[in-house]
Amino acid sequence: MSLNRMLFLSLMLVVAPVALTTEPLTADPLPTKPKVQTLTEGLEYPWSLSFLPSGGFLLTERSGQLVTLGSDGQVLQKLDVNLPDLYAASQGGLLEVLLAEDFAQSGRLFLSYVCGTANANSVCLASANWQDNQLTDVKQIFRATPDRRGAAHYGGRMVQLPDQSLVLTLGDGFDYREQAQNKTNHLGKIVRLQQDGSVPADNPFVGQAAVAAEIFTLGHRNVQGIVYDAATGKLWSHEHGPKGGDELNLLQAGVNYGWPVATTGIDYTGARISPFTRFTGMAEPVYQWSPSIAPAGMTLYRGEAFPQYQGNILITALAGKALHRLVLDGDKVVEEEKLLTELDSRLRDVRTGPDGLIYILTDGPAGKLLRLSPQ
Amino acid sequence: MRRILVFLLAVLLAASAGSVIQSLVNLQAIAALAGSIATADQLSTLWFDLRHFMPVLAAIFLPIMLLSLIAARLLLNRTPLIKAPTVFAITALATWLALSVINQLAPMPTLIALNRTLAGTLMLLACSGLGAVFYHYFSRSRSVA
Repeated sequence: MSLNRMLFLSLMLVVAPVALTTEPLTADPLPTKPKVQTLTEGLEYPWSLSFLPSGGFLLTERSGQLVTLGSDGQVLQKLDVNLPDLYAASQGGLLEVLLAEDFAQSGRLFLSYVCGTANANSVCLASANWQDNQLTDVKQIFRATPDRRGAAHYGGRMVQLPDQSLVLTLGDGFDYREQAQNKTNHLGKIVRLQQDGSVPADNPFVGQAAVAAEIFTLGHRNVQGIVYDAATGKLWSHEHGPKGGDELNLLQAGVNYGWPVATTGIDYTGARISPFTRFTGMAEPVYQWSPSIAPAGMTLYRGEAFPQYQGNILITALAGKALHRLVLDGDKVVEEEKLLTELDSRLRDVRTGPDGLIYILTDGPAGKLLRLSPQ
Repeated sequence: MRRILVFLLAVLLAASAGSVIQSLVNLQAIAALAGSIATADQLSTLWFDLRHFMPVLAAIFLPIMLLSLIAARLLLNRTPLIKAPTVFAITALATWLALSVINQLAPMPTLIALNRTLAGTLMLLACSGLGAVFYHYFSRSRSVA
């Protein structure tokens, strides 16, 4: 442990933890726990995983590498991504890689990343073509505004909707939490864009004066999980709360999700952020965690390998060091189970593979790609 | 013993003032987004912060004020500076340095919300500085430390 980290932890020990009580829902034990297989080791802060149609994987390392893995997890290539203005520090760097729906034909993919400098940075989105294991035609198609100082709370997760539009999550920049309610900018928002970065005509705030037309939803803190469920047409996200108040949300265009006006979390110093845990006109979370689990990735399981997980939301947790399985009844969470606690590892991302198996990235300088399969 | 008690009281007063100021600034920021906040909610927030945030701020202020008062005494023993402004200035400067170091070490850009703006930072510095001046005046010998 570094001296810096020890000093900070010592300071934090003084902070009296405040017990925010949320009764956890406990799922019945599953008939079988999944078998965990390590496919790849030695990944440097892996952040996002995608599946190549030819088999194998493409994943990002936060420091700026795009890593190609074979279907057995063997590292085939680490490519330094030449993104314009990439800024890698603390929580910033290369974030998500998302293959376009037509990737098999077009080779098009999207990369979210932090761009700028220590004193003026933001989240950028680039499109590129993937040909012969190389990126070509890299173009920055969106840059969130305004720039911020510091390297925290970027969001950076993406999903593509059936109409081909992209939904990109953005954080509040930590020091700028009140801006999550300011519709003139992108801090603390989720934005929806066309594949070329332009604004879809049916975005909820298009045509309104002094409003950023890219905004899809607002009032978010740091959204690091988003998934579209084609079976129900629902768009789910989760976000980091401060100390307590991590949330699972069901996203709807134009809705305000409350941060920082309505929250059950408090500041890391113990200070109250807002007197309100709910507020008129602001959506309440579907589910929340206090104390925080630090949710960082999400999939909604529609595979066949785990019939008992069908329709469940799976969430990787950093601080919680577990895979959280949420059982839904309509739009409500009725059960929760923590899996993989025995790994005692910060979990960054979770995906459902085309084979129906579950793939997980662990966090850290020696991250791993894990595959979960039935026993 | 008296000096220790006065010092602890000075730290407590400085941290309490900082806590109340942060509560009011936070409430003002939320009110700007949500409209007026009921008096009961404001008082509840002030009390919550005094119980939960004030001890943290006191833990930060205590070593800063202790070292600052020692440094001020050493300086004042050797120079003809006016005592109260010197104590205030040294403590405020030390607080600013300490907050800068904390923010460098912490995973978040700024640990204390009040420290996010220049005005808030100056108010925090004033709290610790005035706390040190309080000790300067009310410690038995009226000496610096």
